[in-house]
Amino acid sequence: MARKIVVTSGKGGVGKTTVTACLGGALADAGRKVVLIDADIGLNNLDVVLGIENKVVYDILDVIKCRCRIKQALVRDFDRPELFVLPSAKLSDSPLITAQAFRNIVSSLDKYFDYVIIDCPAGIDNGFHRAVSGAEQALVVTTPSVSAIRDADKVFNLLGGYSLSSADLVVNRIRHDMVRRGEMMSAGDISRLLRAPVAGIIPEDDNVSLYSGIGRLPVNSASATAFYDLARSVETGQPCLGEGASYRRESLFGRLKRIFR
Amino acid sequence: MKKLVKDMVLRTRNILISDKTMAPEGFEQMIKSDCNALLENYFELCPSATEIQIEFKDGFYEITVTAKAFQVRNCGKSAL
Repeated sequence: MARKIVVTSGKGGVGKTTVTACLGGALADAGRKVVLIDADIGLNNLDVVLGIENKVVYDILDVIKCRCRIKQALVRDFDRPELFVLPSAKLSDSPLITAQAFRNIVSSLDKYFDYVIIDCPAGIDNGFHRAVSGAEQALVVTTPSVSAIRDADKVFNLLGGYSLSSADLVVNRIRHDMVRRGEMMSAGDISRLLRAPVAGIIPEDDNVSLYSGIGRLPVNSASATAFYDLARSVETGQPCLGEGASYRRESLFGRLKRIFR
Repeated sequence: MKKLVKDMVLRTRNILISDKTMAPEGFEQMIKSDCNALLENYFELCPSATEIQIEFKDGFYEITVTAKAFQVRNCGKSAL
Protein backbone atom coordinates (compact mmCIF):
# COMPACT_ATOMS: atom_id res chain seq x y z
CA MET A 1 0.00 0.00 0.00
CA ALA A 2 1.45 3.33 -1.06
CA ARG A 3 1.55 6.36 1.19
CA LYS A 4 -0.43 9.09 -0.52
CA ILE A 5 0.73 12.63 0.19
CA VAL A 6 -0.62 15.89 -1.24
CA VAL A 7 1.68 18.91 -1.40
CA THR A 8 -0.40 22.05 -1.17
CA SER A 9 -0.15 25.68 -0.10
CA GLY A 10 -3.06 27.88 -1.14
CA LYS A 11 -0.80 30.63 -2.35
CA GLY A 12 0.87 30.19 -5.71
CA GLY A 13 4.60 30.46 -6.21
CA VAL A 14 5.74 29.27 -2.77
CA GLY A 15 7.38 26.12 -4.17
CA LYS A 16 4.82 23.31 -4.17
CA THR A 17 6.06 21.84 -7.45
CA THR A 18 9.69 22.16 -6.38
CA VAL A 19 8.96 20.49 -3.04
CA THR A 20 6.99 17.73 -4.78
CA ALA A 21 9.78 17.04 -7.27
CA CYS A 22 12.65 17.27 -4.78
CA LEU A 23 10.88 15.24 -2.11
CA GLY A 24 10.12 12.59 -4.71
CA GLY A 25 13.75 12.63 -5.81
CA ALA A 26 15.02 12.28 -2.24
CA LEU A 27 12.70 9.35 -1.53
CA ALA A 28 13.73 7.70 -4.80
CA ASP A 29 17.39 8.14 -3.86
CA ALA A 30 16.55 6.25 -0.66
CA GLY A 31 15.35 3.35 -2.78
CA ARG A 32 11.60 3.98 -2.56
CA LYS A 33 9.39 3.63 -5.61
CA VAL A 34 7.74 7.00 -6.06
CA VAL A 35 5.17 8.39 -8.47
CA LEU A 36 4.48 12.10 -8.67
CA ILE A 37 1.04 13.14 -9.93
CA ASP A 38 0.72 16.59 -11.43
CA ALA A 39 -2.78 17.60 -10.35
CA ASP A 40 -2.39 21.16 -11.65
CA ILE A 41 -4.59 20.83 -14.71
CA GLY A 42 -3.78 23.39 -17.37
CA LEU A 43 -0.93 25.12 -15.51
CA ASN A 44 1.25 22.04 -15.08
CA ASN A 45 4.99 22.36 -14.48
CA LEU A 46 6.14 19.17 -12.82
CA ASP A 47 7.39 17.82 -16.15
CA VAL A 48 9.43 20.98 -16.76
CA VAL A 49 11.00 20.99 -13.29
CA LEU A 50 12.17 17.41 -13.83
CA GLY A 51 13.21 18.00 -17.44
CA ILE A 52 10.93 15.35 -18.88
CA GLU A 53 8.66 17.65 -20.90
CA ASN A 54 9.79 16.05 -24.17
CA LYS A 55 9.08 12.54 -22.88
CA VAL A 56 5.38 13.14 -22.20
CA VAL A 57 3.15 11.19 -24.58
CA TYR A 58 0.00 10.54 -22.54
CA ASP A 59 -1.37 12.44 -19.58
CA ILE A 60 -3.96 12.02 -16.83
CA LEU A 61 -6.84 12.95 -19.13
CA ASP A 62 -5.81 10.22 -21.60
CA VAL A 63 -5.90 7.71 -18.74
CA ILE A 64 -9.38 8.84 -17.66
CA LYS A 65 -10.65 8.68 -21.26
CA CYS A 66 -9.13 5.17 -21.54
CA ARG A 67 -6.95 6.22 -24.49
CA CYS A 68 -4.04 4.50 -22.77
CA ARG A 69 -3.24 2.32 -19.78
CA ILE A 70 -1.96 4.13 -16.74
CA LYS A 71 1.49 2.56 -17.05
CA GLN A 72 1.80 3.98 -20.56
CA ALA A 73 1.23 7.47 -19.23
CA LEU A 74 3.94 7.25 -16.56
CA VAL A 75 7.23 8.96 -17.43
CA ARG A 76 10.42 7.79 -15.75
CA ASP A 77 12.91 10.37 -14.44
CA PHE A 78 16.22 10.57 -16.29
CA ASP A 79 18.43 10.26 -13.21
CA ARG A 80 16.32 8.13 -10.86
CA PRO A 81 14.88 4.86 -12.14
CA GLU A 82 12.57 4.63 -9.11
CA LEU A 83 10.92 7.99 -9.79
CA PHE A 84 7.94 8.32 -12.13
CA VAL A 85 5.62 11.15 -13.12
CA LEU A 86 1.99 11.06 -14.19
CA PRO A 87 1.77 14.28 -16.22
CA SER A 88 -1.13 16.66 -16.05
CA ALA A 89 -3.45 17.53 -18.93
CA LYS A 90 -2.10 20.50 -20.82
CA LEU A 91 -5.45 22.02 -21.65
CA SER A 92 -7.64 23.79 -19.16
CA ASP A 93 -9.74 21.80 -16.76
CA SER A 94 -11.92 19.06 -18.22
CA PRO A 95 -15.22 18.05 -16.58
CA LEU A 96 -14.05 14.44 -16.90
CA ILE A 97 -11.34 14.97 -14.31
CA THR A 98 -13.64 14.59 -11.32
CA ALA A 99 -12.56 13.91 -7.76
CA GLN A 100 -13.77 10.31 -8.11
CA ALA A 101 -11.83 9.78 -11.34
CA PHE A 102 -8.74 11.23 -9.66
CA ARG A 103 -9.18 8.94 -6.64
CA ASN A 104 -9.54 5.96 -8.98
CA ILE A 105 -6.24 6.80 -10.62
CA VAL A 106 -4.49 7.17 -7.27
CA SER A 107 -5.94 3.83 -6.12
CA SER A 108 -4.76 2.10 -9.27
CA LEU A 109 -1.18 3.25 -8.58
CA ASP A 110 -1.33 2.06 -4.99
CA LYS A 111 0.08 -1.43 -5.45
CA TYR A 112 3.00 -0.41 -7.69
CA PHE A 113 4.57 2.30 -5.56
CA ASP A 114 5.74 3.09 -2.04
CA TYR A 115 4.77 6.75 -2.33
CA VAL A 116 2.20 8.67 -4.37
CA ILE A 117 2.92 12.38 -4.12
CA ILE A 118 0.31 14.77 -5.52
CA ASP A 119 1.29 18.24 -6.68
CA CYS A 120 -1.78 20.32 -5.80
CA PRO A 121 -2.73 23.41 -7.84
CA ALA A 122 -2.70 26.83 -6.21
CA GLY A 123 -5.95 28.13 -4.76
CA ILE A 124 -8.70 26.47 -2.76
CA ASP A 125 -11.28 25.72 -5.45
CA ASN A 126 -12.20 22.47 -7.24
CA GLY A 127 -8.63 21.63 -8.19
CA PHE A 128 -7.55 21.79 -4.56
CA HIS A 129 -10.38 19.56 -3.36
CA ARG A 130 -9.80 17.10 -6.18
CA ALA A 131 -6.11 16.79 -5.31
CA VAL A 132 -6.67 16.49 -1.56
CA SER A 133 -9.40 13.88 -1.98
CA GLY A 134 -6.80 11.42 -3.27
CA ALA A 135 -4.45 11.83 -0.31
CA GLU A 136 -4.04 10.47 3.22
CA GLN A 137 -1.44 12.99 4.37
CA ALA A 138 -0.74 16.60 3.52
CA LEU A 139 2.32 18.80 3.40
CA VAL A 140 1.43 22.48 3.42
CA VAL A 141 4.17 24.62 1.93
CA THR A 142 4.63 28.22 2.97
CA THR A 143 7.31 30.87 2.81
CA PRO A 144 7.97 33.30 5.67
CA SER A 145 5.84 36.03 4.05
CA VAL A 146 2.62 37.13 5.77
CA SER A 147 0.45 36.48 2.71
CA ALA A 148 1.75 32.93 2.27
CA ILE A 149 1.22 32.19 5.98
CA ARG A 150 -2.29 33.58 5.79
CA ASP A 151 -3.16 31.34 2.84
CA ALA A 152 -1.52 28.33 4.51
CA ASP A 153 -3.72 28.94 7.56
CA LYS A 154 -6.83 28.81 5.38
CA VAL A 155 -5.59 25.59 3.80
CA PHE A 156 -5.02 24.00 7.21
CA ASN A 157 -8.59 24.93 8.14
CA LEU A 158 -9.90 23.30 4.97
CA LEU A 159 -7.78 20.19 5.45
CA GLY A 160 -9.46 19.75 8.83
CA GLY A 161 -12.57 18.71 6.91
CA TYR A 162 -10.78 15.72 5.37
CA SER A 163 -9.85 12.60 7.29
CA LEU A 164 -6.11 12.95 6.81
CA SER A 165 -3.71 11.16 9.11
CA SER A 166 -1.44 14.21 9.25
CA ALA A 167 -1.05 17.74 7.91
CA ASP A 168 2.45 19.10 8.38
CA LEU A 169 4.23 22.28 7.49
CA VAL A 170 7.11 22.81 5.10
CA VAL A 171 8.74 26.23 5.40
CA ASN A 172 10.36 27.03 2.07
CA ARG A 173 12.78 29.75 0.96
CA ILE A 174 13.89 30.67 4.44
CA ARG A 175 16.90 32.92 4.87
CA HIS A 176 18.73 31.84 8.03
CA ASP A 177 20.90 34.98 7.94
CA MET A 178 17.80 37.19 8.02
CA VAL A 179 16.25 35.07 10.76
CA ARG A 180 19.40 35.52 12.88
CA ARG A 181 19.26 39.30 12.35
CA GLY A 182 15.61 39.35 13.36
CA GLU A 183 14.43 40.41 9.90
CA MET A 184 12.49 37.29 9.01
CA MET A 185 10.17 34.98 10.92
CA SER A 186 11.72 31.65 11.83
CA ALA A 187 10.19 28.26 11.13
CA GLY A 188 9.35 28.04 14.83
CA ASP A 189 7.45 31.35 14.71
CA ILE A 190 5.47 30.16 11.70
CA SER A 191 4.78 26.78 13.28
CA ARG A 192 3.38 28.49 16.39
CA LEU A 193 1.23 30.85 14.34
CA LEU A 194 -0.22 28.05 12.26
CA ARG A 195 -0.26 25.54 15.14
CA ALA A 196 1.19 22.92 12.82
CA PRO A 197 4.30 20.73 13.20
CA VAL A 198 7.23 21.42 10.91
CA ALA A 199 8.24 18.55 8.64
CA GLY A 200 10.87 20.45 6.66
CA ILE A 201 12.79 23.73 6.51
CA ILE A 202 14.15 24.50 3.05
CA PRO A 203 16.63 27.37 2.77
CA GLU A 204 16.60 29.91 -0.02
CA ASP A 205 19.03 28.49 -2.55
CA ASP A 206 20.01 29.83 -5.98
CA ASN A 207 20.74 26.24 -7.03
CA VAL A 208 17.01 25.50 -7.13
CA SER A 209 16.29 27.89 -9.98
CA LEU A 210 19.64 27.09 -11.60
CA TYR A 211 18.94 23.35 -11.76
CA SER A 212 15.30 23.94 -12.66
CA GLY A 213 16.54 25.82 -15.72
CA ILE A 214 18.25 22.68 -16.95
CA GLY A 215 15.50 20.35 -15.79
CA ARG A 216 17.37 18.67 -12.96
CA LEU A 217 16.91 18.46 -9.22
CA PRO A 218 19.51 20.33 -7.11
CA VAL A 219 22.34 18.23 -5.70
CA ASN A 220 25.21 18.94 -3.28
CA SER A 221 23.59 22.08 -1.94
CA ALA A 222 21.89 23.34 1.21
CA SER A 223 18.45 22.85 -0.29
CA ALA A 224 19.25 19.30 -1.46
CA THR A 225 20.30 18.38 2.10
CA ALA A 226 17.12 19.96 3.44
CA PHE A 227 15.03 17.89 1.04
CA TYR A 228 16.73 14.74 2.31
CA ASP A 229 15.79 15.87 5.82
CA LEU A 230 12.21 16.32 4.64
CA ALA A 231 12.20 12.86 3.08
CA ARG A 232 13.41 11.39 6.35
CA SER A 233 10.72 13.29 8.26
CA VAL A 234 8.11 11.89 5.91
CA GLU A 235 9.50 8.34 6.21
CA THR A 236 9.83 8.27 9.97
CA GLY A 237 7.04 10.63 10.98
CA GLN A 238 9.53 12.46 13.20
CA PRO A 239 10.91 15.90 12.32
CA CYS A 240 14.46 15.49 11.04
CA LEU A 241 16.08 18.85 10.64
CA GLY A 242 19.76 18.82 9.78
CA GLU A 243 20.18 15.09 9.29
CA GLY A 244 20.01 14.99 5.52
CA ALA A 245 23.56 13.79 5.03
CA SER A 246 23.19 10.71 7.23
CA TYR A 247 19.84 9.87 5.64
CA ARG A 248 21.50 9.81 2.25
CA ARG A 249 24.19 7.43 3.49
CA GLU A 250 21.49 5.21 4.93
CA SER A 251 19.70 5.29 1.64
CA LEU A 252 22.67 3.75 -0.22
CA PHE A 253 22.82 0.97 2.32
CA GLY A 254 19.09 0.66 2.12
CA ARG A 255 19.40 0.25 -1.62
CA LEU A 256 21.92 -2.59 -1.25
CA LYS A 257 19.62 -4.28 1.22
CA ARG A 258 16.78 -4.06 -1.21
CA ILE A 259 18.84 -5.51 -4.08
CA PHE A 260 19.99 -8.51 -2.05
CA ARG A 261 16.64 -9.11 -0.29
CA MET B 1 12.96 38.03 19.67
CA LYS B 2 13.97 41.24 17.92
CA LYS B 3 11.37 44.01 17.63
CA LEU B 4 10.92 43.79 13.86
CA VAL B 5 10.18 40.06 13.92
CA LYS B 6 8.01 40.56 17.00
CA ASP B 7 5.93 43.10 15.07
CA MET B 8 5.72 40.73 12.09
CA VAL B 9 4.53 37.86 14.27
CA LEU B 10 1.97 40.04 16.06
CA ARG B 11 0.63 41.45 12.80
CA THR B 12 0.40 37.99 11.23
CA ARG B 13 -1.34 36.65 14.32
CA ASN B 14 -3.93 39.44 14.19
CA ILE B 15 -4.58 38.75 10.52
CA LEU B 16 -5.07 35.02 11.15
CA ILE B 17 -7.44 35.67 14.08
CA SER B 18 -9.39 38.23 12.10
CA ASP B 19 -9.81 35.77 9.22
CA LYS B 20 -11.05 33.04 11.54
CA THR B 21 -13.51 35.18 13.49
CA MET B 22 -14.95 37.07 10.52
CA ALA B 23 -18.61 37.76 11.25
CA PRO B 24 -21.11 35.92 9.03
CA GLU B 25 -23.18 37.74 6.41
CA GLY B 26 -26.20 39.49 7.92
CA PHE B 27 -24.65 39.61 11.36
CA GLU B 28 -24.53 43.43 11.38
CA GLN B 29 -28.14 43.63 10.11
CA MET B 30 -29.25 41.32 12.90
CA ILE B 31 -27.55 43.45 15.58
CA LYS B 32 -28.93 46.64 14.03
CA SER B 33 -32.46 45.25 14.14
CA ASP B 34 -32.08 44.19 17.79
CA CYS B 35 -30.55 47.57 18.76
CA ASN B 36 -33.41 49.40 17.01
CA ALA B 37 -35.99 47.36 18.89
CA LEU B 38 -34.29 48.12 22.21
CA LEU B 39 -33.85 51.86 21.55
CA GLU B 40 -37.44 52.23 20.29
CA ASN B 41 -38.58 51.50 23.84
CA TYR B 42 -37.00 54.78 24.96
CA PHE B 43 -36.70 57.04 21.91
CA GLU B 44 -38.57 57.92 18.79
CA LEU B 45 -35.84 57.02 16.34
CA CYS B 46 -35.17 58.70 12.99
CA PRO B 47 -35.79 56.09 10.32
CA SER B 48 -32.71 54.38 8.85
CA ALA B 49 -30.38 56.45 11.04
CA THR B 50 -29.09 53.57 13.15
CA GLU B 51 -25.57 52.43 12.24
CA ILE B 52 -23.53 49.54 13.61
CA GLN B 53 -19.78 49.36 13.17
CA ILE B 54 -17.79 46.28 14.20
CA GLU B 55 -14.02 46.42 14.01
CA PHE B 56 -11.41 43.95 15.09
CA LYS B 57 -8.44 45.65 16.74
CA ASP B 58 -5.60 44.32 18.84
CA GLY B 59 -7.40 41.06 19.59
CA PHE B 60 -10.75 42.65 20.54
CA TYR B 61 -14.01 43.51 18.79
CA GLU B 62 -14.90 47.22 18.96
CA ILE B 63 -18.65 47.67 18.51
CA THR B 64 -19.98 51.17 17.88
CA VAL B 65 -23.73 51.86 17.75
CA THR B 66 -24.94 55.28 16.57
CA ALA B 67 -28.55 56.32 16.28
CA LYS B 68 -30.61 59.51 15.96
CA ALA B 69 -33.89 60.18 17.68
CA PHE B 70 -36.55 62.92 17.47
CA GLN B 71 -37.46 62.73 21.11
CA VAL B 72 -37.47 60.68 24.24
CA ARG B 73 -40.55 58.54 24.82
CA ASN B 74 -42.61 59.13 27.90
CA CYS B 75 -41.66 56.15 30.05
CA GLY B 76 -44.23 56.88 32.75
CA LYS B 77 -44.45 55.25 36.16
CA SER B 78 -45.99 51.91 36.74
CA ALA B 79 -47.47 50.41 39.88
CA LEU B 80 -44.62 47.90 40.06
